[in-house]
Amino acid sequence: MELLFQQLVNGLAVGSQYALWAVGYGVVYQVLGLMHFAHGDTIVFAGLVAFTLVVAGLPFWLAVVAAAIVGAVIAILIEKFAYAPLMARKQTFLAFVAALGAAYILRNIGTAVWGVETQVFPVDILPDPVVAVGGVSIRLFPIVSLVIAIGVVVAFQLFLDRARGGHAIRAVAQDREVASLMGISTGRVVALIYALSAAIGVLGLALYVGNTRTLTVGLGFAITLKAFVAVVIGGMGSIRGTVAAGIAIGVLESMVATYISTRAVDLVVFLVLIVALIIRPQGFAGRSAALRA
Amino acid sequence: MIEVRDLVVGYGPTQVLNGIDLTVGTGSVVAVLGPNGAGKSTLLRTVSGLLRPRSGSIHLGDTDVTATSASARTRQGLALVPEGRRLFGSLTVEQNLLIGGYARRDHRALKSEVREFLDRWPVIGRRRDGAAGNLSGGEQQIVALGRALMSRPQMLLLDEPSLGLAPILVNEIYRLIAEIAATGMTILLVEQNPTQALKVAETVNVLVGGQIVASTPSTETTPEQVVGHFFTGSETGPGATEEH
Repeated sequence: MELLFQQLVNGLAVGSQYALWAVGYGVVYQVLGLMHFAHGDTIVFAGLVAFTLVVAGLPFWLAVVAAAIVGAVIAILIEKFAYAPLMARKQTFLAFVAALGAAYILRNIGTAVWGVETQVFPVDILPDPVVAVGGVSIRLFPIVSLVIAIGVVVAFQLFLDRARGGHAIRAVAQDREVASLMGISTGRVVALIYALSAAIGVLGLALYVGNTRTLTVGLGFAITLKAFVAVVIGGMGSIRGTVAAGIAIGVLESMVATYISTRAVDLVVFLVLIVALIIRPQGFAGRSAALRA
Repeated sequence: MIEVRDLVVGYGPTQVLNGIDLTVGTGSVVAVLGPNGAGKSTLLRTVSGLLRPRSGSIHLGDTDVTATSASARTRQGLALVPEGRRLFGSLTVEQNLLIGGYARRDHRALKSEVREFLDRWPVIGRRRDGAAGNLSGGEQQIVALGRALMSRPQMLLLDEPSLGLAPILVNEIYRLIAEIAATGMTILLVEQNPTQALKVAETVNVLVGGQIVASTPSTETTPEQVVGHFFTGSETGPGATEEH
């Protein structure tokens, strides 16, 4: 019972990371219609910068802020120089190919600078207390992770629903031409979307590092893939659906790893993806909750 | 004032507008009427900045805006009510109106103008928090007009505001347009149906095959004569007056 409870908590923590990785990925897809396959590698590259800063003595959370800025800048540059010229010519598929190219470039630079080996953060970057709940000892960090992730997602949803900038994002998502007629600088809004997407993703990575104390350059593709699966299962463009799917995938992985085998994790997750697509191809939240009409 | 000179616009190998000259004086209402495919919407899309011309120039007042973006032209006092309304369907009615004034800095005044607008149209006002996509076609057209007005434009472009609406609603929309015109707004209106356009416009231009084939004061022509131009495609059509 204690194992089940602990694994459930761990699964929620991992799922909350997936949720944060997936939200930004999903918003980019929803607003721009583009599979941003450089998303994970952008986040990991920024995370490796944070690793260097932490090793150099910067406090962890300051390094996370710096990494969020680095990630946002990289994402904006990728959009401006790789995606935008192709999207302007309505070459969505080629932009997807460019996304893969950008991902590989980042991964190669990351490998050249930091190597392929796992980077281990100092143990003392964050406290890791254990609490007793009903006689069961559980780590507190996974619960904090979940609370932070839900807080960030709720804040992001409120921003989209209430703030002027959020309305501008939703307007650009629905009709870019008409949005420009409203005086909205669509180029700036697109840059904002990429920046937010990367910054939220970096926060997800910070939770991952806080939980595992490790980071490898190869994690980027896994992040993109998990984000992609969460977005597809949750419903393209639905933030709530994406978050729910991200958390569910985290819990599922944790349970499969514990009670079946760690080797069966991806098998089960992608089996679930296929079944979910057959049952509900529009995703479980459907289009009703999407940014677009 | 909106001034268009020798405007040539096309999509790929197709040339849609072939050297359009058009002036809309400050505070005046000018209509461009033409059949389907004449290039009316292309003209408005180019004037609003959504399309780049191949050649020619567009001036708003004294400023040459030919190379500027649509958002820059909005900030310069131009607003377009696009064909088919194109409201942001998942945003609420109120949010649609607020986003119309996105370029404004006086947010408090904007909110008060949105409130006034919604008070004036109680049927729409009661649904201010509902998705704009759920409004009827006529209600959407009114909101689309309101959204354009929220930027406090000096120049208004209207793309077939009567399209797809029941006759009673068309009358309502044109009453609103006449009211807007009476405030001294510079309006360029494109329409397929000349009956209503002739009531609000001072000058009527007939656009056929990407060229203005006739230009006349609205008091000197009739809907039948205008439609006649649609078929003859030249200034020699029935009721033709001076060539533009």
